[in-house]
Formats: sequence, structure tokens, C-alpha cells
Amino acid sequence: MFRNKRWLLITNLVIVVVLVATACAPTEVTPPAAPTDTPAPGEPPPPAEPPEPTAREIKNPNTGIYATYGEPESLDPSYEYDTASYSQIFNVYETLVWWEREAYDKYVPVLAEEMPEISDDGMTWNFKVREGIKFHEGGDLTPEDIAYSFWRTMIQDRAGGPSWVVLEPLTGYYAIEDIAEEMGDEAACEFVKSSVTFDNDAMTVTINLPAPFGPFMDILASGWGVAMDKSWVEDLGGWDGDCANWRDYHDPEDVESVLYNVMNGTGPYKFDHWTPGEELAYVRNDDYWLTEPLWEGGPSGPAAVERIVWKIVDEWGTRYAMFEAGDADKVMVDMQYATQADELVKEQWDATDESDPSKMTILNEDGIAKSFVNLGSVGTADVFFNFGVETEGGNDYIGSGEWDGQGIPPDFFSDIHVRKAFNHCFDIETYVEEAYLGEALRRSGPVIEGMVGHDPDLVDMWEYDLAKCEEEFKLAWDGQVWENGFFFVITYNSGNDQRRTAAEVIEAGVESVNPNFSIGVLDVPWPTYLQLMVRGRLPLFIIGWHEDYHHPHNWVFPYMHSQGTFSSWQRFPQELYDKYDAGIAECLATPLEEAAACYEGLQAMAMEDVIDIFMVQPSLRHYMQDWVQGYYFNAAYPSPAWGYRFSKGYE
Amino acid sequence: MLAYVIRRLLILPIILFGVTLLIFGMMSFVDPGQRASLYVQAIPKGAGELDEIIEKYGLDDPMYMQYFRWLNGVLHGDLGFSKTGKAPVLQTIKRFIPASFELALWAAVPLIWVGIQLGVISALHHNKPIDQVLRVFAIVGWSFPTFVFGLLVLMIFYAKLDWFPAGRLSEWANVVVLSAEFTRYTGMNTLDSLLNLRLDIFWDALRHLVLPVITLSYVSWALILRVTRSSMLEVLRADYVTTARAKGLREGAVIDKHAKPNALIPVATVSGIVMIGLMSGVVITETVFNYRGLGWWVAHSAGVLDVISVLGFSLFYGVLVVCGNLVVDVMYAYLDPRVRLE
Repeated sequence: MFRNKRWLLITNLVIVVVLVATACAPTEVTPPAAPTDTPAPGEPPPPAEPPEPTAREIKNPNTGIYATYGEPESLDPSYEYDTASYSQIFNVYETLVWWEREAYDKYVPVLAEEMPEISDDGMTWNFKVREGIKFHEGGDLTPEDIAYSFWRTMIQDRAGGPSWVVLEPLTGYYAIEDIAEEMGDEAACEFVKSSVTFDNDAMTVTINLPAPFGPFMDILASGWGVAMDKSWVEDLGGWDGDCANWRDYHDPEDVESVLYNVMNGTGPYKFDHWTPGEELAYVRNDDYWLTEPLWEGGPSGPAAVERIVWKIVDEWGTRYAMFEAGDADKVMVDMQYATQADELVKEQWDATDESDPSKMTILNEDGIAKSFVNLGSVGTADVFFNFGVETEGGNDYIGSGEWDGQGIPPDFFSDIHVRKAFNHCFDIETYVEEAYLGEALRRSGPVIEGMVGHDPDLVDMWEYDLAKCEEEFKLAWDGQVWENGFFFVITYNSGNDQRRTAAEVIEAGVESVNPNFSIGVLDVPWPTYLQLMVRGRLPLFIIGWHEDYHHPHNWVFPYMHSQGTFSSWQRFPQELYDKYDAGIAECLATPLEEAAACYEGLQAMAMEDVIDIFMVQPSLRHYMQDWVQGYYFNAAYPSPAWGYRFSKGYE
Repeated sequence: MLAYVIRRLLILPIILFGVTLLIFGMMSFVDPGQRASLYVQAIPKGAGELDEIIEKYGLDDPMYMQYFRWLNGVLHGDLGFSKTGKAPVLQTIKRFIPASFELALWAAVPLIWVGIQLGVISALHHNKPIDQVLRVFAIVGWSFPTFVFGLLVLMIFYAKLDWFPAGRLSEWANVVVLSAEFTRYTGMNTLDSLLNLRLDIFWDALRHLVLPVITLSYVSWALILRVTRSSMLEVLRADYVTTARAKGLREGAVIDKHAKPNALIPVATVSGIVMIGLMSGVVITETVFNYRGLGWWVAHSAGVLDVISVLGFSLFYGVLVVCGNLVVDVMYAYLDPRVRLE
């Protein structure tokens, strides 16, 4: 205890000195200023030049930091199936082919020397693999590594994982368990291995498809087509490719995979560390093999930025402060915070890169950042009707479950008039404005805008019209709906403002046409929401899809197929499933360039049957410091985390 | 006193058993499907996948079976695996303890010592303007929601002025700390940097601590101030203080030797509770300042129904509360010779 005021004074002084010294301590290493020419004595000063744009001091000049939220589930390419994990892949691993700059339907050979030779029937794909490429840990890339990587993804096939994406085109099955059940364990593994064969001497890989599969090139370019080093995986204790023991490596828990928290690829960055809850860091691969750009003007040689960091910052206010202080080069901004982030933006680009200055607007003269807006996403948000709600053990989400005005029967949405009414009562313009600041495209069926099979003319088939809504409700269930009224609950996951807005817009529209109509809106934690949807306990649910690969099949399947993610939760009548399954199979067997009419037909079916309220395909925004160079947008990239294209500086 | 300490420590397992039983009991109200969702980060393809997970982890087994399975692991030194910490629970706690302890230690001085000083000044100037000002100052802090005050100082001192950043270290310092040239003795950046003779890292770590410490201090000063002030006022009116003054002692000596030691006895109890709270992590402060400690981890775990992590933390917290209270009791006996621990 301090005994007199002198001590008190001294202590206070010490605290003040420490605080001041701390505040004044050097903050970061900055690049030295460029040398300037000084005129010799007697010489006239050089003529004045126009002022350069104000260049701020670049923080962490050799490190690229992306502040975002989301923790990867695993770093194993055969395991990852979430955005945060998927975003880590491409800095380290590479694929046979990849997307050409911003195009997500054009490809360039990467690990392949050239684009594949594809047989006339579309079922045999031959690749010539580049020679002389090394993995970060020193191993040589061989065709066997590439084949092994596909096999490994297929035999691992963990519950809730991505293996089906590869299994479907390569084997015609969705799960290895299904193959094993039919053929037996060892034969199943041999069958899987026979789909991708290799010749190390000839440096070739041959992929044998059981049937032509339109989206296969996109799957090859995806994170599930990367090359892993077989010997390295074996050394770590992973699967050695032997069909006698594949079961030991099947359906692992995340941490059971030997690649859970390590990476070893051929790409421009080497994995450095993962501190869960905090960050993932990568260091430049100084021996990167790529010496010629993959596309005109593309990067080549070692990366421009030495380190890249994926910084996990959950709280928006903290991310904002980091961004304003210059400690984050790129920042994740959810649409509800876009107006706040815009306060820091100088240049706003309504474009996918900075090539056309006419597409740039100055938002704030003294801004420090630039943003790219109206970026076409490959994700959606829709409302799904449940045709037969699960009621086992009671279900409060449908109220009384009767036609008594206090609930709805479990098959309420099986009447097409109800579904039409809900569509007509949904004020889509208000929803887009409130939830997405007007930056979203209206949907017209499962196939997204910009894709083969998309038909924009269907967008107003069920336009917002309260008179039509009333009319449909009067027709529904032979007038019972209109006479008795109803009550049920729309649920969304806590914290998701877009889904809350959708629920409230539905509530407002439907309740406005009849005072006996009542809808409750309730938020629940994500785990609760997920299991309620999967179990079919919600009368309608609001969720979105982000494509696994860029092809209409990856849209019609989850929305319409009997085994589709959402459609299977919706419990359609069997005749609908039969009709959709047949249509989907037919479209898939058709080469993409000839499949437009087929997919348009499927899209029309989904709209005419009113299986959902097809809401929006939201646009994206990307925010970065004005010193970040090299940005372009490719919708197939899971986030702006692919660091090879970026540099830091002022041009 | 030794017997008292041993007796209190023996109660520890009973308390921990009760706490874990209570948490498991509460978890029985959560559907196995919801708990299975912890293992599904992407959208599952169907209900079958959730069922597989439930079966794999025995989430639909009777609750007593799940409890004894977990208890059996604990008795064998295995607290289970933390999905949110991405490591075994014990390892995860070890990883987050240094950050929370470091914050608690640095916050303790300004929080408790300044709080006491403010309380003493307030009492000595009872009902005078300085007393009123200090009380208003403290009450304003107490009324501020932590996240509002935290974000406010973050925006001013980090976003605008760039004096005191969020997180635990700057990027350049982080690279050094994670490198082979830097030895991590305790996991506390300030202490480790001094032990490594890296003053630059020390200053950097200190800069990152300033805002969380100010936030924690300001929102808690009112409590310490008020307890100190009322206790001090009571003591200043006591007969022995009057006697001391009557004997002609200097006012400073009366305050420091006779009044303060007695007035601080209740403050010790409150400070002990505050310290336990700090050491077990401060959820909002750790979240706002991106300061990854125990508080952030357990809040994150509870949010995604990571029961194993919550249970592991509860065990740790139980031990901390019991031991912390024990230390307070012992301090109490030391400060007040009239108290005997029996």
C-alpha cells in the first residue's frame, strides 16, 4: 500500500510515461522512401511536376492480410466443404486445369501441359502432366500423385463432406458406401481406382467416366481436383493407396485426417501455420515453378507479396477499425455494413477489375480504400415450401396443425394455390432494397443468371400482386384457407438479417390480405435451424445455395432432384420427383452447348409447379486498401483470399 | 488455518461434480440433432448424415451414459476434444490461459489500485465536488455496456489515431514471436518478450493491452470505488480513528495506518471476485478487441453447442473459483487479525 501522496504522484507519473511511450513506440517496418534527386549547387531547380496522388504509408508492406470471419473446418482437400476451408486451398495446392482469370467457364492448363484430349463420346480424358514440378516438401509431382488425390477423396467420403462431387462423375454413385454395398469393400476401392489411371513414364493421367458429365472440367478446376503428394501423405500415416485397408481411412473425424492441419502443394505459397481462432499464414514459395503467365497479363514467378494471412476477426467493429488503421489489406463486409464501409472508400468500381476507368466513381476524396460492387455471385437466397411437415412428437411451428385458424395442416403447402398466393404476396422489391441495398438479381427458377439454361423471362410469372394473392388464397383448399384463416411460424437463424427480412416481408404481405392470417417470426440458433430444416419440421424455410461447380446441374439437382439437398427436405409428391429426376438425367447426358433448352425446360417446370419462392441472386462487394494492386473478380473463387495475383504499392 | 484450507480443497470435487452434472442435465433438453449440427459446417445433403453423426458420437444415448462416458475420460485425464478449439480441451485451455491471465494481471493494477484510490479520495472529500465528480465518473463507466465503451475507444484510439491496436501483437511482432529465435516461456507476450530481451516486442504487446485494460478498468471502477468509499466512510467515523486524531497524529498517518487497512477488508473480497472473473476470461472485451482468451473461446463454444468445451471450461472455472475464494479468505484473515479460519 502506498504510504503517502508522493508515491501516488510518482506512480501516476510512471503510468502516464508508460502510456505515452507505448503510444509513441514504432509501429511497423515501412519501406524506405525512394531516393530523390537534389539539384547541384548553382543549378536551377527542376520544373514543378503535377502533384502525385497522395500515397499513404503502407502498413506491413510485405504481408497481405485479409480480415474476415470463419474458421476452416480442416485443411485436408478431401475433407473441406465450407467456404473458409475452401478458401485456403488455392494458395497452396494446384489443379490440372484452372479458370482463366475472371472467366469461370474458360480454363487454362496448370499442372497439365495442355488442355486434355477428350474422346468423342466424352468419357475418356487424357492429360499430359508437366514435368519438373516439385511439392513444397521436396517431392516430385507425378501422374500417380494426381490419380491418388482423386482416389483419396473418393474413399475418404466423410459424412457431410464433398466426396460426392467427385464420385458422381467418376463412378456414377454418390457415396462409396453404396458402391461397397453393391460390390464389396475391396472391389469398390478397385472400381474407384479404375476411374483414374496413370502412367508415370509417359507422364499421363487418364480419367474414365462411366457417362459424359458436362460439368466435369469445372470439377477438375475446383478444390477437389488438387494434386497431393502420395509419398508425403503416406509418410504422415495417411492412406497408401492399398485397397485392402481403405476402410481405415474412410469417414474420418476432422482431426483424424493426417492432412487436418498441414498442407503441401505445388502452388505459389507454402503453408506456414494455423492458430485456431486467430489466423492462418502462408509464406511465398520462392521456387515456384510457374515462369510464364497462365493468361495474358497474368502473374508468373514467385509471388509479389512475401506472406499472406487469413485473419479471423468475428466482430465487424473490430474489422472496420483494423481496415481503417491499415492493418487489414482486404476486409470482409456483410451487406448490412456496406454503407459504413463506404465511408472509407475513395474509388468505387462497378466492374470486376480496374481496367476501365469510366466504371469508377469517387465516393470520398479523402477515402483510403477502393471497393468493387455488383459482383455477380454464384450463390442465392430462396424460400422453400415443405409439402409434408414432420409432426412426430408434436410440432409447434405449424400451430395446432388443424384447420381451426390457429395452425395449418402438415400438407398445407402441397396445394399449388397456397404456394402461388405466397409468391404473389411477397414484395420482392422491398426485400431486395432492405436486405441487399438493391444489389441483388431477382430469380426466375433454380438456374442462376448468366448460366446456360437460365430463362430471365420467367421472372414475373408470380409477380408481387396482392389482388392475385387474395384470389389464390380463396381458391386454396376449396376455400378453407380463406374462411378459417391460419397461423404458423417462420424461422430463421439468429443473426442472419437477410433471412429475418425475408420472413418479415412474407409476414407483412400475407397478413395484409386477410385479418385471419397470422404468421409468427422466430429466430433460433444455427444448429437448431439446421436440424429443423433437415428433419422437415419447418413449414417453410429460407436458405441459400452456393454452387460446388459452375454448371446448371449443380443448381437443378439440389432444388429439384429426389436426392437433392433442399428438394429432399421439401418432401415433394413422388410424381414430381419422378418427373424432375427424369428431366435432370436427360439434361445431364446432353452436352452443355446443346443443353440450354433442356435446362430451360426444367426451370420452367420448377416455376410452373411453384416449388419455391425464388428470391434473389445477391451481388457481392469486395473492399480493399487503395494500395492493393492486381485485383480481379472470379465468381468461382470462394473469397478474395487467393494471394498470388496481388501486390502492394501505388502505381 | 491449514485444516481449513484442506477442508475447502476437499469440497472441490463435490462442487465440480455438481457443476458438470448440472450442465449435462441442461444439455438433455437439447435435441441430439442440434448437437450433431456442431459437426456439420456445410449444409448436409440429408437427414441421414445427421443420423450418422448422432450414432457415431452416441448423442442419442441416455444422458447418464453420456455423462459417465465423459466422466470416465476425465478420470483418465482426457477432457475430450474441443471442436471449437481444434484440439483436446486441456490443450485448448492451456493455449488460452496465458492471454486471459496476461490481461487479468495487467488490468488488476489499474482496476483495483486506481479503484481503491478513487474510493479513498471520494471518501476523504465526502459530499464535496470532487466526490460528486468521481462518483458520476464511475457510475457513467458502470452504466456503459462494455461493448459500447470498447468499440468507442477502439474507433478513437485504433481506427482514427492508430495508437493502440486490437489483437495481441502486430503482424511483424507476431512473425518474430512465432519464429525459432523467440522462446515462449509462459505464453504471455509481455513477460516472454522481457525474458527474450526483446523490448520492441514488449512495447508492442503493451500497446495491444492498453485498450482492453482501460475498458475493463473503466467499466469496473464504480464497484471498487463504491465499496472502498462506503467502507472508508464507516471507518473514518470509528472511535479508534477519532482517538488517533485526538492523540495528535498527522492526518496522513491516520488515514494510511489506521483507516485504510481496515477499510480495505471488504474491498479484498470484491477484488478477489473481480480477479477470478478476469482470469476466467472476459467475453465481450476479448471479442471486441480480437483478444483470443478463455472468455472468447467459451462464449464461442456455447454458441455452437460445443458441450465438451463448455464442460471442460466449467471444470477449470470451478477450480479457479474455489481456489480464488480460498486465497481471498486467507488474505482476509491476514488483513483482519480478528478473523480466524477454523
